[in-house]
Amino acid sequence: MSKRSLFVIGAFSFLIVGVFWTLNGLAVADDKLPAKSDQSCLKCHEYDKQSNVMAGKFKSASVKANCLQLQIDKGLEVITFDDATVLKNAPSIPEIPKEESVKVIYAKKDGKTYAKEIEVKKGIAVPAEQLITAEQLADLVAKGPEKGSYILLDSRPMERYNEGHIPTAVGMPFFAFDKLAEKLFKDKDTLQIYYCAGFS
Amino acid sequence: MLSPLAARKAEKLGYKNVKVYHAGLPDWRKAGHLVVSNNAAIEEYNKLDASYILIDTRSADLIAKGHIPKAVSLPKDGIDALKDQFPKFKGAAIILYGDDGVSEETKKAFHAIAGWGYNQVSILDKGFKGWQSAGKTVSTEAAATTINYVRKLLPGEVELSVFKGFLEKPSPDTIILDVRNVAEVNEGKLPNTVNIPLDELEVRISEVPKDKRIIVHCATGARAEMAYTILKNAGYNTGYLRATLSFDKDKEGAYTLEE
Repeated sequence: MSKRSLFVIGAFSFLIVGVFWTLNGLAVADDKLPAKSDQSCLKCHEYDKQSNVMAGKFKSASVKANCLQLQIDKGLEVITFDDATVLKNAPSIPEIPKEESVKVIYAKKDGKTYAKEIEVKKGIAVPAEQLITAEQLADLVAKGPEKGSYILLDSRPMERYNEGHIPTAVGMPFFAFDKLAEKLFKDKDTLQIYYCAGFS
Repeated sequence: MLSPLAARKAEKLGYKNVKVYHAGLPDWRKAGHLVVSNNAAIEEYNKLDASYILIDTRSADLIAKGHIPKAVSLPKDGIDALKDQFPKFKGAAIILYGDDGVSEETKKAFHAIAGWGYNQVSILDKGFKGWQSAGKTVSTEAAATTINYVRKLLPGEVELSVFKGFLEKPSPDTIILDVRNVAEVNEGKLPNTVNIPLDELEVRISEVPKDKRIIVHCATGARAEMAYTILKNAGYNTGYLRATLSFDKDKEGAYTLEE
């Protein structure tokens, strides 16, 4: 094959790759990258068996630098984003509430850790008929557990309960549920209301 | 996330009347309702040597007879008179107490403080009497009249005074890294600093010497903290500044740095 035809093939394939890159956004590599996930996410999701996933708590974002920070267990990860990043369940990245659970599909783009997709997790679905509003709860709290015939349970760790809880609530850390259930619940029919730190 | 799981568990165990307040405590606060705390919170803060604000809302007579250690007495004119002394940090732990639980005074102060944006304010649920009857230490010294809250530095955070020291007297072992973008740097930069914008740091990390301590700053501390994370994950000895930086437009090189 002549040098000239090699050059033509070379130039042509470069063109194809160029078009391909433009279609895909710029230079996003498709390598399989290890999953990094907060332990709390692994209770319900098998992210550890997937690739290119980071899951953790949203910590902060900078629009000036197009970077966001995710807390994964005790460590932190910084991930870049741009206009092509797909965002689910939030109006904009800076508006994602702090501490919210977030799943990021990531890749390397121009050498940086880049978010292809950011999904704000909406927590575990609770059937509508099981939900109670702040207003309904406030009415009950005003009556008190006896008159209102309810038991209000704080599922967070005891330290969080100690430093601030809804009046009349009883501390029942989720991880001590089985141990405390016998002690706290007298019958099967009394209204039990559970709360924690909200969606995460 | 824990409450729906707990509710499912309860249902599995045969409890029939289970509800979930899914939006939880942050929503409860937002709706303007009271939040209570208990003695264990104060003891835990003392044990951890954590900073917190404790305000005794009872009368001067009662306070003089005995109060919870470290309490500040509520001024006669009410909580507004203390407002200037509150920290900038809105997550500061603030506990209010009355004689035996929620009182008109504690309620009033709670709503005022929550209204100023503090999201860790609570009322001690059994008040001073609950503290005393549980056998906890009671102080009879004159209660403080001013708030003295020192925010604890976050992991990696460098004190402002230490940072200023490096600016004035550069150390050969320390590099101050500015992670603002180029447009911001063109408006003004601090002396003896090196600039790599945060979004380029991961790619240009080889430019950062590994044998020196890297202290990062930006315009507020948000990006600096992220740069600190990137450097720390890459094995650097690093720290960052959480402070607001602004440059005086009329005077070349003049700047202000404040917490």
